[in-house]
Amino acid sequence: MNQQHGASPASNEAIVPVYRAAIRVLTWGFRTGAGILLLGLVVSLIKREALNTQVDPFADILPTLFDGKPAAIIDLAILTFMATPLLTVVVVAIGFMRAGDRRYGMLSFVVLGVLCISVTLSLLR
Amino acid sequence: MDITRFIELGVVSAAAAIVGSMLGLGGGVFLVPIFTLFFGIDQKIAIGASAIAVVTNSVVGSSIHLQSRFTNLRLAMLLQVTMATGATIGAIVGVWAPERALNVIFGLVLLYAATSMLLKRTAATAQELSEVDDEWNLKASYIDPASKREITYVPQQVRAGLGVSGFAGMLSGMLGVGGGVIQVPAMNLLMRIPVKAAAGTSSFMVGITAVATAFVYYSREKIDPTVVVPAMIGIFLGSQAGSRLTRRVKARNLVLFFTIILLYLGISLLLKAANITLPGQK
Repeated sequence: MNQQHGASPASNEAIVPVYRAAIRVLTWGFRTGAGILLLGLVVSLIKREALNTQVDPFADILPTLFDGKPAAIIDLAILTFMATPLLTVVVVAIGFMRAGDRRYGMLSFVVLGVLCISVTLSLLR
Repeated sequence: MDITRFIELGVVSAAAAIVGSMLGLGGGVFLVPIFTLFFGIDQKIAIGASAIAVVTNSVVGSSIHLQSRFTNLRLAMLLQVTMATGATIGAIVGVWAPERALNVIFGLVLLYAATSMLLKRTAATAQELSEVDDEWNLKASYIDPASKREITYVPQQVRAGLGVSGFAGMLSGMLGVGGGVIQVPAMNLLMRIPVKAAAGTSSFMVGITAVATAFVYYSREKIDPTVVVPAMIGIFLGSQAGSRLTRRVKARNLVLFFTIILLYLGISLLLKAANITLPGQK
């Protein structure tokens, strides 16, 4: 098998912890998002408040959350789902670096950079 | 909250996910045309909802593929560089693009998906690993649950794969679909990656790609929780049911039927672009 022409030295066994960390983030991201979503729907039904037809800007979510608005809880759930893959990329990037796989660690950070452009566009709203 | 509409959107999303998982396309390709054609939902709102539903589906499905090692994390991160870039550009273009242009592009993508379903694909055969150069250190292996054998592969034509991923990302960003409809066949036929590894890696990638899309649509106020929430719940439940049904039902018998649906939706979108609405559509 010809391989690793100057490529990262990390073997597939060395990156097993990266897989484990990614699974953990995805599992807990889903559980958290689903839990918050369920809470938002229940509060919405109890308070008989309709869902918003538009998500709030990031800056407005926290104050409305403290007001107990179900729409804000739903917004938070949507953001939790959106943040989960982002967090997974962070964990994968760090994991590759720790495993000594600098090439794929750096590539993962590049992906994160691209995603940050999308996030920045949202924050500029 | 209009409970009836909420339930209708949820049921339709679940049905889309069941069909999508049986065809191996994900539910995204069905969501946007159904939402726009039959519910009269604004196309950009439908794309935003679909993108978030794709993220949810990927978050759930990816952990299963990662556990079985179908996902090649190195390959995913490499291809994601161009795919996420394409998705960000595609989403920015999609937000500003006229609805008619998006209908034409989406219609053509659906016709492509339907055609590729009808034409029997020749699965890529494994190459002798001794002949293969692993310049990118992408060699990976997994245990095939059916044969209980270890399958080892080395992705080929990586540069071409990067190009296809960029294109898939652009379409994903513009249309709110996962991009698996292009990515999986390309990985299998072009890069000679076994189908299970291609599907597992793609499932992980589409979630990240759809995040790039979702944030752009979020910033342009195109995320409507009254559409997103039932779509998320429906897609999640539908994909769970779909993966179980696929094992029990002979999905091949249904492929022709669902392919006709894809063709119908594709033609409907092309006609809509020409201001022609078929009966029962909005």
